[in-house]
Amino acid sequence: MTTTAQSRRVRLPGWLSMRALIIFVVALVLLYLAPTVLGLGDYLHNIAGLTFMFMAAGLAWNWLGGYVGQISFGHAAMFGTGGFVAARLTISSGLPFWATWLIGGVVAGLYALLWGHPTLRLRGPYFSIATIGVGEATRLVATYWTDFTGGSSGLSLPIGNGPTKFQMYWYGLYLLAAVVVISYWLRRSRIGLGLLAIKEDVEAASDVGVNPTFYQDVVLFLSGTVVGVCGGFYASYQAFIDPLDMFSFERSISFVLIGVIGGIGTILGPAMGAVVYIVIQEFLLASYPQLYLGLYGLLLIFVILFEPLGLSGLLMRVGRRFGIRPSPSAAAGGMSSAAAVPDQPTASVGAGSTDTKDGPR
Amino acid sequence: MSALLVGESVCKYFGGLRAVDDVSFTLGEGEILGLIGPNGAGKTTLFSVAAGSVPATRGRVLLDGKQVSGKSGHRSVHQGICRTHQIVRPFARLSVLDNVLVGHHYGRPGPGHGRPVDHAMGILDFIGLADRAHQLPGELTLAGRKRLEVARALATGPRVLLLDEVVAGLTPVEAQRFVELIRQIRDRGTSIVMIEHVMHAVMGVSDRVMVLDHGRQIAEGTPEQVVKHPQVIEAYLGRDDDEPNDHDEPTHGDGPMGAGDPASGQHAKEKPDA
Amino acid sequence: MGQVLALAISAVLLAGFYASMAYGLGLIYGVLRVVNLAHGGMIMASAYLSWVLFTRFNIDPYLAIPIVMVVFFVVGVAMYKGLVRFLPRGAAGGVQSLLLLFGVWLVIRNIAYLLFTGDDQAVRTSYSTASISIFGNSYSLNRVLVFVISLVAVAVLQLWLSRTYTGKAVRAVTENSGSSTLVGIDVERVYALTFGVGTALAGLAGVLASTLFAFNPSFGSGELLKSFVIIVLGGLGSVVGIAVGALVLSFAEIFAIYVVPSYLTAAVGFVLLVVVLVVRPSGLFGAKVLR
Ligand SMILES: Nc1ncnc2c1ncn2[C@@H]1O[C@H](COP(=O)(O)OP(=O)(O)OP(=O)(O)O)[C@@H](O)[C@H]1O
Ligand SMILES: [Mg+2]
Repeated sequence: MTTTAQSRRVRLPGWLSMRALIIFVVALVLLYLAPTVLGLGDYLHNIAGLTFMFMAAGLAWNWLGGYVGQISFGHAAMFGTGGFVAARLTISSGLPFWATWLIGGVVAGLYALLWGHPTLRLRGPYFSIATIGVGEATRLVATYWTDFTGGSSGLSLPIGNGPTKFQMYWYGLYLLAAVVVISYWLRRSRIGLGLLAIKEDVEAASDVGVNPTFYQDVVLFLSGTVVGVCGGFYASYQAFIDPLDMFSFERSISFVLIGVIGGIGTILGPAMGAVVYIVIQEFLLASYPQLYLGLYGLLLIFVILFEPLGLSGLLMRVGRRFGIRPSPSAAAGGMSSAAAVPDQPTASVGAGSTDTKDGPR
Repeated sequence: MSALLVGESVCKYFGGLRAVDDVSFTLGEGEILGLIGPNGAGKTTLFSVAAGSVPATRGRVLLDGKQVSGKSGHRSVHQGICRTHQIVRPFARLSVLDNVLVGHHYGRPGPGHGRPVDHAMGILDFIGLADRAHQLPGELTLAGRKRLEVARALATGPRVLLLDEVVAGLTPVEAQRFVELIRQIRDRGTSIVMIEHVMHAVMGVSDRVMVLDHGRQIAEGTPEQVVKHPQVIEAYLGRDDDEPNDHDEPTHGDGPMGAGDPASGQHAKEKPDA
Repeated sequence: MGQVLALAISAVLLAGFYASMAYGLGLIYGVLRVVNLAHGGMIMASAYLSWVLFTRFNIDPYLAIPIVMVVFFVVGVAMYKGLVRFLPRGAAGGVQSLLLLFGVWLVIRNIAYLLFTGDDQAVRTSYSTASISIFGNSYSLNRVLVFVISLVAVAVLQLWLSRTYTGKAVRAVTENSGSSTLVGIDVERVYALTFGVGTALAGLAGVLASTLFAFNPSFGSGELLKSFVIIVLGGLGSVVGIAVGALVLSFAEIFAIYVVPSYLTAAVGFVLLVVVLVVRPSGLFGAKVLR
């Protein structure tokens, strides 16, 4: 497939480089074949599927949190919305599972717009705190809205008419692949430049023609939709969902963590973050669940203090050892604001982030 | 000369403060209009209204007969009016080239849109920053950042460019180069309104000059007419409640505004950036 | 009519508590341009401290206030010197400090879970059930006391800000940190002090909360959110603004019982926030807050 693309000299859109495309396709094929070739155990196989979903969700969170710089502490609201819409549809209609995911996603995206359109006028901390409110309010409503969410007893999905847990690996992979493409497109196309401009200085961006409201709304909608689809995926995966889990504050935090650990604002960092998150979740916290919050809190503190670009930042340090220099504008992918750190401009992503793709494997 | 930009009784009040009070003006095609006045006269506010960044309290600004005030900033840009900022606001973590590309991609659709990078480099070349294209704005001098501010605005393809104190704070040599640049921009077909405190700069390059004081328009005319205007002299020097002016007060011939830069104190804040 | 009056008085009493709760957050933001996301966690921690002092050492919560405030002042200063100092600040620079302080909050919550489990606790003094009659309606003594103490605290703070040298320095930095340095104010010291005072206020709010509500380690997120709503509504730096914000919020919450089921009153603050943002995008008092 890659060879035909090369031989016919297909013109790629400006945001997609041949190198990135090749890496992407190779990675996709490898991951597609991995279970059959490697014969992972059931447990690892299933966890890998779940990891793909968290990667997708983390990347989608990062569009808002990293590309535009609007940190959301309330993405569980969309995750839960998508999950419950999908679950309800699965229970009461004969729609195929992927259609329920999509509808759930779109509903979640629309819900995100509903609260996001007014609150996105706020910048930075103000927006973030507002999202805490969104998350809490949604959680309350969802918990008490028994007709829709089943209240504290949750919803069980009918077994048999969805994909099996084993197949979820590949559906997770497709989901991730789509999200990776969108991530690239959002950052590398001209839209990406506009988003960075908004992140740097909303007013100045508006004064050179960028419409901040529109682009922030679009990004929030996309982000909410993908996280909603992830919710649907999660519902199918678990075959049971309850609002206390889906809408929980901890759920929202998990998206933040995945983004921050992986490298907020980088193109693929959150995918790495998701792997770390799952590893901690499954292998460490399984034995010490009571340390959940504190461990993640400490992780946040350490990342912010010592390597604000998370794993991507670490990789870039390594890369610089070997003389790989990222492009200057790549620094904008990071989280600290321009105004705040004028003299520390080149912690950056650029070329390095293409390579981070290899991280998840 | 047909009027390209028209202000009709523009008022902008901040609570009780009349920052801009009933100001009308016109700008012809290919003209440079100087806008001067003491600190706090309302010059920047007038720009903000004209560029759509803030809504007018009353009155409106028309570009080619279509209203540009009272919309959001980006829509005015698409109509062909773009402003620079008195305190430069580059996108600090985007390279110089990317800064200009933002203007190019999101500005008024026009020629050169097939090849964004070529177009942006062309503008940087013209403005004298081509060799800095891959640096960050923070690595430029103040003069460089002011050039970048202008380059980014030019990249939006404006018909009217609003320049807010682009010369102030520069060394005389840099200032001279900048004035030359402004003239060239005009010659390439962009009409300009420029706010400036550096008098010889604004007087030398403007076709007409408008003077604001306490939000009101107190004089308008050719540079020669304006410097002789009694109210202008009073606004700059005359009143008791004003703080005493610089030591090198106007000498003969140079008009009342011979004194250097009345706003020099205020600009201190934008110099030590990095 | 009688019921409306009763509710209105409840709302005013509640607003007093809200004001003391929001003041700390507003003060820190005003001076450092950092939103202290750990604010809610501090309130929760101080509620537990008050509970421990009461159950273990038999110290009445109201008498414990000075102790708790001193402790939290020290904690605040330490937090500033140990963490916040290293972070970028400024209008747009909040993301790092936001996430860091969020991390602190998570850690505090976890510690509280480990020490006290997730069970609800409450401080029940001998007078917990006592009540006072105002205009023929009776109100719990605690609520009235909390109101009075909040008023005193806010008044003292205002006096401190307007009369003392340090207070004036804090206000000067709020206005403009750049020129404060020029006139010889030790800005770093003011920052540390402000973080301490703001945290001490969170401590006060926590003690007051412990007498009014049951709490567990997740307590505080609602308080953070409400504090935030209040400073958006009321603006920073003026007692009047905070008071107005607190009153608007408490009235909205209390009178919301006519409209929405009681479990949703917690969401009222948020809805109010969105409504204000839609109607007045820059908050009731405009750019003061959102610059
Ligand atoms: N957003 C605002 N809110 C309240 N007052 C404002 C606002 N912007 C400007 N002002 C006030 O309006 C008046 C005019 O300000 P403006 O910035 O337009 O003056 P200027 O002529 O550009 O002065 P300078 O030469 O110092 O740049 C000033 O008194 C200023 O304090
Ligand atoms: Mg000005």
